[in-house]
This record gives sequence, structure tokens and C-alpha cells, in this order.
Amino acid sequence: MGDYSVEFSINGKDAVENYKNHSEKPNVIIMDHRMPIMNGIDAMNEILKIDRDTKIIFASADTMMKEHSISMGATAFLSKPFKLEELIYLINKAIKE
Amino acid sequence: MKKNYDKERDLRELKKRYKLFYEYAPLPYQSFDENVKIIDVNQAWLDFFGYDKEEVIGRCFGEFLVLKSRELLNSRILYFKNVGTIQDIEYEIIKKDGIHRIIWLDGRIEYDKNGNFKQAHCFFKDITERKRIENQLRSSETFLSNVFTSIQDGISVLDKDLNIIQVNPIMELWYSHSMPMLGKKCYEVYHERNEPCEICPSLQSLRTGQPAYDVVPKRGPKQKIIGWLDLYSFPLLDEEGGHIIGVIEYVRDISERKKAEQKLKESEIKYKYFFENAQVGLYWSRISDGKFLECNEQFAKLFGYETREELLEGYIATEHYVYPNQRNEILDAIRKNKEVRGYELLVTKRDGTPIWLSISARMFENENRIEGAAIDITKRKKAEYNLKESEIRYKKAYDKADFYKDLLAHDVSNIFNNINASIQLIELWKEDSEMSNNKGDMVEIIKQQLERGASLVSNVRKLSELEEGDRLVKSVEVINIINDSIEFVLSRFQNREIEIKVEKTNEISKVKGGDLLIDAFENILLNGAIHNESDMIRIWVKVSEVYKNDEKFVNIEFKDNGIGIIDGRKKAIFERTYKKDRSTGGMGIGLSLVKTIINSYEGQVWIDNRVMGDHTKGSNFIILLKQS
Repeated sequence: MGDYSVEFSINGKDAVENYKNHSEKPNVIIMDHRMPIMNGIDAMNEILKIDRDTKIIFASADTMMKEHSISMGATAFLSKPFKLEELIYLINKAIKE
Repeated sequence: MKKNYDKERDLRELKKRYKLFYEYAPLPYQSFDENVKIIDVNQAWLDFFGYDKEEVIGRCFGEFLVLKSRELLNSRILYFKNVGTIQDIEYEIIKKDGIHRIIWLDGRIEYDKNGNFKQAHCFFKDITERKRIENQLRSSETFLSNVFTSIQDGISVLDKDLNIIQVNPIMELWYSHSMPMLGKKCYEVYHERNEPCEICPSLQSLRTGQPAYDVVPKRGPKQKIIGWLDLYSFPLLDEEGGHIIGVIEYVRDISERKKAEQKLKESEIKYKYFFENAQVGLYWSRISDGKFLECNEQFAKLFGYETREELLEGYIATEHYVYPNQRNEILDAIRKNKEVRGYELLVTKRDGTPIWLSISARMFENENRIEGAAIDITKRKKAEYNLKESEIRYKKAYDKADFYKDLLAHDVSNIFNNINASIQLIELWKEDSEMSNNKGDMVEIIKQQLERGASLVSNVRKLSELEEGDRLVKSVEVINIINDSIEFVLSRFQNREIEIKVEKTNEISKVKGGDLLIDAFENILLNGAIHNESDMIRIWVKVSEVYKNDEKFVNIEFKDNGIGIIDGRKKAIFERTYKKDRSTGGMGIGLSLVKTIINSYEGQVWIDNRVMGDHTKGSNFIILLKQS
């Protein structure tokens, strides 16, 4: 499926901290929405404040978040449950852009 | 010689008498010459004017008069000289001290043998006081005459035989059709009658010698009654004050007043009808104590009385306010705005049944009175209450439906997503032997997700049951339940190192609980195990008895070495229920279920850090259950 290394964060706040502290910024972030402490939208906003060009794929079972996440700067929205092919496609697309 | 002697003697006697008369006569005397110069004055004159004789003799009499009187003297002296006498001529004199007085002067001229003017002899009297009284009397007469003519009420003076002696202009105006009035009988002029009226205050006054009063008709031509009069009769007494010589009638036209009274009476009748037959309750009450002073039948019926008399007798308003402060509130509202409209009040009827009233009222503070109208709005209030209850129930039901919809949509979707992804990866790695270990992990993930789903379904069911309210609270042995829940959790975590220890301080009493208590303990233990990155999952369960507010509780602490919970989430973590923003809630309703279960058994639950001040070292779930 591709040669990608993947790192995990346990919640939105953890994701922002990891992004700040990582020397090599990720090519793509796959962001859930409903998370403890900080939700996906807030985490995405914090990350985009650091780098507006960061590619974030918003993946959530909360389908009502689609329009909102795109308007807030998400590259794409992936509705759960999704197929792996869909995920791989969006990751590749985001990296190429 | 004797004759001459006698004559001289007589003359001497005469002079003596004359001198006595001259010196001691009480009336001032003066004599003056042709030119009105004073020849002689007597002592009375000097005393009156305040001069000495030397100051007066030879001076013109006119010098002692005011200018006007001097001019009169000058104008009349010729007449005096010609006629020889004058009488009661009025002069205004000025005394030595400057005081003015009025005198009446009488005079006679003495002529010589040839008939020529010799001297004028004058006496005068001081009429100052008399003039003053006359002026006063004149003023008085003028005043009374003005009053008599200008007064807007009628005045009629009758003699003993009821003949009209005098009337004022108002009477002439009122009875112009019967003019002339003077000399006629009062009953002829005022009533066109041949004999006295049956009710006649004047006759009564003549008879009794006392004032009398009555209301009599005011008649126009042909005896037509055109109004009404207040007639006051006063006996008129003679100058000695002893005998009645007539009556004075004082008459006031009260036609307008009578009309107004009649209108008022008609109004009263009209409004009495409305008051008694109105379909709303009408009342008067006393401000000071709330006692009802008056009401209509409808008002009495509101309170369960058959008649208004019963209510006025038996009902004390201040004793029937369900909320006593409402009495002062309504009084304040009326005072502030002069009235209230539609003020809602809850009171009780005669039999104690509560009733809602809508009151419109106003206050007459100086009369210590409130007047108002009341209608029974109990049915409306009940309907409003039921509607509100309905709304609340509907909202609750809507929120509940929304909550479960969201749960289904989100949590179940996540579970499916994880299962789906795991299966897809297993398929992908079917031919890849290097990834075979990973396939095992995927199978584990699938299992976990299935358990998660099952747990979610189970929790939803239990939560729903709790909300239905059908739960049995009973006395339970908490240690047994803890042990059972530990057994369950241990069976769930066979692939991880997990240790759960239980410590109890002494014999633990039974607690108020039920069948769902085990679910609460399981959820807490699972939470401590799932959110735990340690190689060895450790959970310590400590059970003790404590006193809080003089009540005995069983205190159960679940301490874990998991990832802990930050302070900001310690409360919120229990509250994934019907709130609108669920974005920071994560998944599952396990801890919400815990709180709901514990609360349903009248217990309490909260979270602390296992190590004080450091949430990263794990959590401490504390539960308090009432001793049963």
C-alpha cells in the first residue's frame, strides 16, 4: 500500500504537542473528531496555525462535521466506516498536491 | 331809692346767676362779633378746645375749623345775620392738640337798640361719637343691603300672618311670574295656593319660636314643580327680643343636587344589578387585614360558599394564601402602579382546595380599601402545567432519541470502522507471510471491537432501564459484588498482566444498592484497565466505613496505575449523556452509566488522582454508598 511510517497520538492535545515537537513534519495527518481533551477541529486549527499548508484528512463517524472541517481547512473528509482503498487514495492524493 | 336798690339787687342776682350759668354750663359757649371774631368763651369751650382764654379772644372762629367748615361758616354767616338764629349747623373743628371733632352749633344774634348786630351768642355740642355711630350704622346697612341683594340664595321676610314683607332679587327672579309679591301671602305667591301648605317650616317656626327646616317644591306658573328648595325658617323677634313678629325664610335651590341624587340612585340601581349578576367575582376588602367588606354572589361561589353573607362572615383571606408572601407582593404591586391587572394568586377555598385566581384590583389607601375582580383560572393553570410537563417530557424524549441516534451513528460507526479496517488488512496480508503476526493483532482488534459493541448495547439497555425508573433498591453485600466484578474483568484481560487487590478496614455493613451495582464496578475496573499503558495493570480496591453529615456510608476507592484523567475532565467524564456538544467526549457511555447507577441508589461518585497532585500516575474512583 505504500512506504509510509505512521505515528499515533491518543487525543487532540497530544496530536498538537507531537506536531510541535517533531522535527520532521508529517506529510499527512489523519484526524479523528471526537476525542478526549481536545477535539479534531480544535486540534486541526492549532496545527494549521503553525503551518497553513499541513495536509489534514478529517476522518470521523460524525458525518455532520464534513462541511465544517473542509471549511476550517481540512484537505479531505473521510466518513467512518471507510474502506482502506479510500484512505490510501486520499493519502496519496494529499501527498501529491 | 328802695326801688332802685331792689333793682340793683335783682340785677346783681341775675349777673351772679348768669355768671354761674356761664362758668359752669356743660355746653361750650362762645360769642363773636360781626367779623366772627371771638368776644368771649366759657370754661367748657376752653376745656373742649384745650386753649387758654388769652389764646382765643379776638381770633376768628373760622381759625378753629377745618377748611371745608370754614368755607361753610363764611357762606352761612350772612344768612345767620339776616335770620338771627341758626340751629344744628355741623362744623368740623380742630382742637389745640390737633384732634378733629364734629360739632353742632346753635346760635342767636343779639341786636342793639337800633337793630344792628351787636354780637352772636352760640352754643355747640360735640356730635363726633354720634356721627361715628351713624356712619357705622350706615356702613352696616349698606353692607347688609349688599348682602341681601347679592346673595344667590333666596331670602324672604314674612309677618306673623305669612304676608311677604321683603324679598331679595333672587326671589323676585324665581317668582317673576307672581309679581308683585310684597303684601301677598307666601303660599299664594310661591305655590299658587289659597291656604298654607301642609308642610310649612315657617308656620312651624311661628308656632314653636324655633328655627325649622324642610325640603319644599319650587313651583313655576300653574303650580308646576320645576325644582326643589331647602327652606330654613327663622323666627323674627321684635327689638326687645321677646315677641315673634314674623319669620325670615332662607331658601336654597337644590334642584341640581336632587337631579344628581336621582341620577346617582338610578346609577346605584344599575350598578347593583351588574354587581350582583356579574359572571366574575367582585369584591371589596380591607387593606389592613384582608377582611372582605363586600362581594357579589359569584365571588362567594369561587370560594365554595352558597351565599355572599356566609363568605363575608366566615372567610378570612389572609389565612388562605398558599404562598403568604403573595399578599404583600400584590399590595406592593397595586401601590406601585395604582392597580394590577391579571395578577395570579394561589389561595384555598373554604374546604382547603387550592384555587388559582386572576385578580384585577385597585387601592383606595385613604379608605383602607381594595376593590377588585377575580376569575377562577385553575383549569387554565392546570392546562399550562400539563403543557409544560408535556414539553419537558417531549424535550427529554427528543434529547434521549437524539442521544441514542448519535450513539448509534458515531460509536457503532467507529466500531464497524475498526472491524472493517482490520478485516481489510487481514485480506491484504493474506498472502504475505511476513505480516502473519499482524493478522493476529487484527483478530484481537476485531474481538475487542465486538466486545466494545456488545458492551455499548448492554450499557444502553441498562441506562434506558434506569431512566424508566423501574429499579429495585435493596440491601446488598458490597464486598461480594466487588469480588464478582473483579472476576469478570480478570476474565476480559487474559492477555495482559493485571493485578487487582481488595482491602477492607473492618466489617462492612450492607449498603443500599441493586442489581446494577456490579455494572458500575465493572465499568470502573474496565476503565482503569483499558486506559492503562503500564506493563502490569494494577488496581487497588479499598473498602471502608465513613461518616458524613452524621450519616454512615460505605466508602469504596478504585485506584489504578493507568494514564489518569486531567482535572478539567474529572467531572465531564461522567456526563456523556444528553448534552449538545459531545465533541470532547470520546466514545462509550460506561462512566455515564456508573454515575447514573450510583445516583439511583442515592450514592455519590467522583474522581481524584491516585497520587495527590499528579494525574499521570493514575486515577482514584471514589464511591459512597448509604448504609442500608
